[in-house]
Amino acid sequence: MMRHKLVGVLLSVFFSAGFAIAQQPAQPQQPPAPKTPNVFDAPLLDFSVPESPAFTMLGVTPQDVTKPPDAVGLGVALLNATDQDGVLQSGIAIDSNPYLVFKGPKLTFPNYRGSRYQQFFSRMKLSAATTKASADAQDAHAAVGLLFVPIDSGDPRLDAGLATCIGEAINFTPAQEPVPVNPNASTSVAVPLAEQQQKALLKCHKDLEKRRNDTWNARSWMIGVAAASVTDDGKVENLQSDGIGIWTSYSRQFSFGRTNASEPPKSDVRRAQVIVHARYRTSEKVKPEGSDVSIDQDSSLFGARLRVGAPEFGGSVELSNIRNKPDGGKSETHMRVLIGAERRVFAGTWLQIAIGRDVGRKDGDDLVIRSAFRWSFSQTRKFE
Amino acid sequence: MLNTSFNRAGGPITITIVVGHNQMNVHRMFLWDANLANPEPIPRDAAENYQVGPAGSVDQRVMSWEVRIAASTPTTVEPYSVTVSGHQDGQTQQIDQLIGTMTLGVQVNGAARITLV
Repeated sequence: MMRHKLVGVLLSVFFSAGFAIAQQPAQPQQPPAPKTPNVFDAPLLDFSVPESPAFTMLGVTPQDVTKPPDAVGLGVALLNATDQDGVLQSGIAIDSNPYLVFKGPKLTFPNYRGSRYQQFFSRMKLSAATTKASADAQDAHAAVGLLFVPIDSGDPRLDAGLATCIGEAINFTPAQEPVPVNPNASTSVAVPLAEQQQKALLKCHKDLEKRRNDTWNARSWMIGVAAASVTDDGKVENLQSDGIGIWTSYSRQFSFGRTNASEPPKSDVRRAQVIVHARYRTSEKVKPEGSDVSIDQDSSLFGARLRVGAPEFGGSVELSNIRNKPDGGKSETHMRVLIGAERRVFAGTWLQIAIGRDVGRKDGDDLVIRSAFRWSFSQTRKFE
Repeated sequence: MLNTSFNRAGGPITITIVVGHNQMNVHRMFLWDANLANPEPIPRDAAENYQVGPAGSVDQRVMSWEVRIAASTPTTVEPYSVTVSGHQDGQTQQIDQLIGTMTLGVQVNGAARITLV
């Protein structure tokens, strides 16, 4: 079993890397730009792996304790990962925000800063995902999920310093002549900002990045809910319900180095974050070991995770209590310990790995090894 | 160029620019003569409405707008929108709307000729 899982993880990493190289992300079309700053001037604000609620529901996140997102990214995410049984899975998730789609033109920045209602729905994420085991497996999984982030104290739009800096960076000066009117333009035209304004904006974001070195792990809270379905033969007409899940995560900065509240946290501990997570899933289709017949199972998970990180690398330790209740059977409770790491390969692309052990299972302790390679390619800025 | 109509016998004309999708922005407007020359800044009131002035004085003149929008993060593709609307005697009409995506920031320029009917 252990060898099988190790091979799965290595295959995941191997195929994921090849997958990433083979498919370059599509970039949005932009009008001709003035000379823009170099890519290496860009701040690294995507501090952590984006979370797709549908992927969480499908069990292809290496960690059990899901963290609240630092920023709700929208777009398409690709994934190669091992699932909770160590089986290599490929998946795609599409994330969107219907509130922005339908209400976006009326949502102004001043109202956002003053309205918790607007913040709440603007951070919402609707996600649809499918995963399928590699090789010749016929079964496929699908899920639709919603993610809400009621609290995100790391939201850049709520940073007063950033707003002031950006306002100064793009403001008009009295000496600037108006743009000549184009009599042939049949509608408004969008053009890139001038190079000087772009540089000033990058400086604003770099200043924020310096501040966020202390606040990337700021307090946040998210709630996710999703419905899953499964088909044993890959045919859509044979899709059947795979249960409904609901989960929540609360995270906050962890700074055990302070001796009193007024003292700033020490540099070696202020990059830590504690996440508390709870999850409940009902009517999940599972196949008992040695059986080809699926049964329904309810499960719950309570866990905590300690993350220590930097902009491009993070490590974590988590402890979970897992309870499974098969339909008509007795419930079983066990503990799981996981040690994980995540590494940003390049912008929007993350490699995750976790290894650990289940303790207290009735069929004996079991090694747990998972990995994932995620590519959220709609979030990448193109520098020319 | 866009065209927009107002009532010749109506009250003063005001213009609003709404930048949506929660994006940070600054904007300004100018009023040009009929030959696209001699631009003058259009003043704003406390509610950020542009006061174009009495309807009778602006026939065939051209108003232009410039909107600079900045994304909240430098590395993500973010949506933006700009909606320009005209108001007269309690009536509102949409003059133009542009919706798109940007990285880092974008400037939106537009113009419309005013016709009094």
